[in-house]
Amino acid sequence: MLRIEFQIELAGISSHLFDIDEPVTSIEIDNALPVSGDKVFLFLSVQFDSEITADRLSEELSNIDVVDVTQAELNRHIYYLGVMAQLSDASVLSLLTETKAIPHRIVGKNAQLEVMASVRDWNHLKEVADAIETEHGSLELLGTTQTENIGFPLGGNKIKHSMTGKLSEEQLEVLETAYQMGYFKVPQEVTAEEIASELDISRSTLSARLRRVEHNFCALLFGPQE
Amino acid sequence: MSPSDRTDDRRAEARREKEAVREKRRRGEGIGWNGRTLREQLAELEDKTEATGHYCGLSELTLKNGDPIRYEQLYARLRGDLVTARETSKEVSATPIVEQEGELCYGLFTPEGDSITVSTGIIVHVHTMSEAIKFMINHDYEESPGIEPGDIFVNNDPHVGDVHPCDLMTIIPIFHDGELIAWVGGVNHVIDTGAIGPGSMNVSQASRFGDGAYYTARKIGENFELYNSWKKEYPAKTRTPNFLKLDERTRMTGCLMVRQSVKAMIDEHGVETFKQLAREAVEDGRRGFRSRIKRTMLPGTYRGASFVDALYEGQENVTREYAQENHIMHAPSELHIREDGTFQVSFEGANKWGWHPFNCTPAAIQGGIWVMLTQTVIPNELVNDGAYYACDFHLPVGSWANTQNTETAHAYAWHFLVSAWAPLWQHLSRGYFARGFWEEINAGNANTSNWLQGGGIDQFDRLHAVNSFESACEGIGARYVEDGEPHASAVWNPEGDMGDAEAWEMVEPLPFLGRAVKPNTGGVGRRAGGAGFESMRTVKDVSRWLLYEMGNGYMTSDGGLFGGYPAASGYLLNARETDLEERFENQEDYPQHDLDPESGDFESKIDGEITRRPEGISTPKEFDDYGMYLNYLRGGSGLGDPLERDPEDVLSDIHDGYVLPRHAEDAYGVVVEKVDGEAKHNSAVQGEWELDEEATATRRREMRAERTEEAQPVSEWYDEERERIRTQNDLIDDIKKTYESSMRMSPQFAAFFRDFWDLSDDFVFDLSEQAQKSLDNRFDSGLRPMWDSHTRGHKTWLEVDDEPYVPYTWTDRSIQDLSGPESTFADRERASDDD
Amino acid sequence: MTTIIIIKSVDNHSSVREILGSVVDAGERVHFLRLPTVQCLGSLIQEVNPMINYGVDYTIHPLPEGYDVSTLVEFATEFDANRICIGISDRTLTGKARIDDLTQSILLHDDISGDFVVGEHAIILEELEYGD
Repeated sequence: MLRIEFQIELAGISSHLFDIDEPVTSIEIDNALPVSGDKVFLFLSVQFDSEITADRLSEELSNIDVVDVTQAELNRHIYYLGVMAQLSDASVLSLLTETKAIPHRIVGKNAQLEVMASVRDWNHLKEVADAIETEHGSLELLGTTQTENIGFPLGGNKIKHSMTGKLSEEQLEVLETAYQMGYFKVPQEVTAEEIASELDISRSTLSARLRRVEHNFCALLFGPQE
Repeated sequence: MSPSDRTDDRRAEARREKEAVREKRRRGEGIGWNGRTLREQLAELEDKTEATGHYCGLSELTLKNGDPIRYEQLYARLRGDLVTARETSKEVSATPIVEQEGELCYGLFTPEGDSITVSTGIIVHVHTMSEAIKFMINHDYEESPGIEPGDIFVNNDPHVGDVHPCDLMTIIPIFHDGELIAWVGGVNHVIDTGAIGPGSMNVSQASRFGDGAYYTARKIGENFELYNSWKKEYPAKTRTPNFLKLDERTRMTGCLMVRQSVKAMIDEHGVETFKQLAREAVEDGRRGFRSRIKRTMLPGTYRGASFVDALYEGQENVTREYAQENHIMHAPSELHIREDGTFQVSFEGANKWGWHPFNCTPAAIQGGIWVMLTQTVIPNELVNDGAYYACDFHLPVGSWANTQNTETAHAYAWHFLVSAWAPLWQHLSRGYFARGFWEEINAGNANTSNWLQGGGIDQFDRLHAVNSFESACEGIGARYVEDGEPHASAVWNPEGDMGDAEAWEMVEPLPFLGRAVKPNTGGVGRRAGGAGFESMRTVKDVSRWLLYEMGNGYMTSDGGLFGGYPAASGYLLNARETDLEERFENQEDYPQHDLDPESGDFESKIDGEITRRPEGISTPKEFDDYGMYLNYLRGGSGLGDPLERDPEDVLSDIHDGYVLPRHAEDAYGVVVEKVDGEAKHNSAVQGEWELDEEATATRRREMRAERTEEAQPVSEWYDEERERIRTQNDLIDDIKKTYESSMRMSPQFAAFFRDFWDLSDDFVFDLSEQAQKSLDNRFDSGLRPMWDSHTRGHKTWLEVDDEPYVPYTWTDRSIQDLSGPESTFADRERASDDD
Repeated sequence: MTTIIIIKSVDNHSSVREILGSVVDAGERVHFLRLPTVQCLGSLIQEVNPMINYGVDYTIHPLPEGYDVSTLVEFATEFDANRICIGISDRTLTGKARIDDLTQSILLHDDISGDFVVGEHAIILEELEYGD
């Protein structure tokens, strides 16, 4: 199996959203549910440059069939949108699923659409790439790694979804690195020093961040300390 | 075309060729063939050669087989051009060492550094230059400093590819169409290396830091021009800069001539033909070598040992106190001849290196074996590195043969080198004898000394150094079918020449008082070893002048063959503060020779501080005008029972000055009587003798009876010897130290030695404190691997365990590892397609 | 069978050994392709000795500066290579191979297709087919 990461020109719902007046930093498709006919129910995370009021947002999104808007609790720049869109507005997604590739992430930013997906083998890769190129003109393959399992398909990672926005990028990076390197395994596979070295931070910084992550987790699970 | 036109042409050619090379490099291509780098090419070649058993995988010699006459013509032309280059360029040099005696040699090499053909001369360098080239390749010189058309390289480092630092080599690459298609190299022996003592091979240094300048494979010029920054470099470090400059021009001349010849051949026949010829010549050489071995030898293990002395106890002027000890080289040697005609030379059991300049490196040993082989096994076949691919060497790391030590001096590696070969000559002779090639047998001439060296302020009031190469003219070992040639050549330069006295006198403030055949120097035997000769020199118009001797003293390294006797051992004779000037003025007698050392003749004709010693080595001492110095050049060893020598031949020996009359009887059992007191047939004795046949027959019968009386069964002799060793009663410290050193170096040798003499398992020699300390110090010095150009051929030196072919045989006889009691070479035909 | 081994760095010993030991059989042909980032394969060959140790016949080719994936595919087509192998130079934190840019380009190239296998030290593109 191959996990691929590629980039194409902004298209579909993402490009519509980038067209609005308010400056958008990034748009990510969190989930997509089928609707009969040629429609699809899309769930998006949209990050703006600055805080924006709900009213203002509704005004801007007037030509999009918005079903729901929720502002993220911790990061007030992020809005979760549920929109009803045409399949053609999520063409990358449909191309991927049509060709039986597994989509993992679709993020629009910097005038590009960054896509992460899994394919079975070389032939499948070609098939998918060809399909996308035919529709979208060009495809820039950013990275390919060997993988053995599918991992979370798009929408499959609910916890991550709710965590994003509640934990900072750095905290998530620290936690994921520690996890992947085997810090939490029994027996422990790696020392704190090794993780700090991998992340190029000091041991004390690592310690602080890990604890903050753990604290925030607990806060999410158990509510504020009594 | 004038010489300067040609120079300009050459420079323009270099620039053009460089452009082509640089264009290729921009495309990521190397200077090798088909875009490869030289190192890739070398790596592939060695891989293919070892995997297929053929040089570069060549199982078919298509050029040779397709057009054998053309092949021979092309090869002969190349070789002839190398000989011509030597003969011509020789005249550029100012030293008689090169101009008279021809201590110069050229080689043409493949891009990977294997010699295709060599000139005459000091062909030890068949393989040393090869090693220097491989060093440069393996050390990525292609990358830095770069190898381009017109480049000039120099080397004299024995740890890279040389015998000793006074052999300077100039190496230039030859390009065609952006590819490096060959190298040409020239080597000559220079007069002075800028060592702590004057001369090319100083004797008083304890380490290489006194050997003189070492240049480790350096680039010294571009566009066929020496760098301005090099021109003064080496010459200015020596006592004889002008000579060295001319020597360099000599080598450049020859190299450029060879390059021209190669270019001409390519112009006429195309580069593909040249490339094919080069490859096939090496494979042909390899096959030729192996087929010669198969024809002339028997498979198995041939064993022997040789020794030579290098005594420093009590010597003045030695740079370190701890170096004032006596050394004896122990060279146990085994020649393993395999059933496929390849062989291994093993020096397992060799003792430790020492603080003296006689240590060797693998290049020295290999080169040395070459020189020997080209006069024995392969005189008719192609002399090139094909032989390299048919031999391998086991040289114990840390021994005098392979020091792997940054401290060791190598100025006169030959002392140990030539002495170590003595058994090898004899091994080959035994093989020849067994196979019926009696005319090839030679008893060997191991010790090529004396080396007259020195320096100071000469007759022109200039700092100068001297190095007489009369030693190129030693007596050769006796042959089976004939005596050895007297004062004919040295094993390291088969084309030896003693040089004209007048030529030496031009560069040495040492006028000749006499030069004569020296009696009793060739070993006695049914066939006599070739006689040596001597020169008696005096000193004139010098100041601060040093002289010293160098050679074997107490020991002679050859044993004589089939009952023959070794050549005479060495001695030194000189005189200082003499009354020679008065004798000249008063027209009195003075010594011109020392042809009968026992007679007292020399001492009767000169007063002064006379030194007559049985050693062969002395350290530099100051000599003034009218000092005297004997240059004694050794003889070769004898073959066969002296009592079987034709008495008429002994009579001729007397008249030819090879044997003193009194020794006719004690050596040969030949009785002669003087019949004329006036005749002077030679310098040694006055008179004429006649043979008394009856008395001779009687004397010989008596001597045989005496022999029978004295003779004892080997078992008895063995017991006595064993007792001597076991009790160590009358063994001198130096001998014990030598054996102890060998035993410490080699557990196999130690086991063999104890086993042979039936000694206890924990037997060791009791050494004096001093000897013990010397060994401990040297063994504690550890190794600093100097040899780091890891070509496949070196694998056998570095890792004993890696050797796949023949196990150590000091305790197990390798005859057991042959395929059976009837094992022999697979086919007696000349190896053709596939061996 | 003909195999192309792309060498990107002189430290590729383990990948070359894996390829010669487990992928290529004795008697097969190998073409080493040296990328411009590598000065010389000499030391690698001296270490590995493909013919002595693995019985393969091989040739070394330099790829010129400014080459692109088409040059490579042309090579492969010319030699009718059944396999292209390249060492793994980058990995994820979990040790999974990261496919390098050159291999990616080959994977996407129109004129070549086949099977993609990841070994311990090398990526192997095998059962290669050429053309559309």
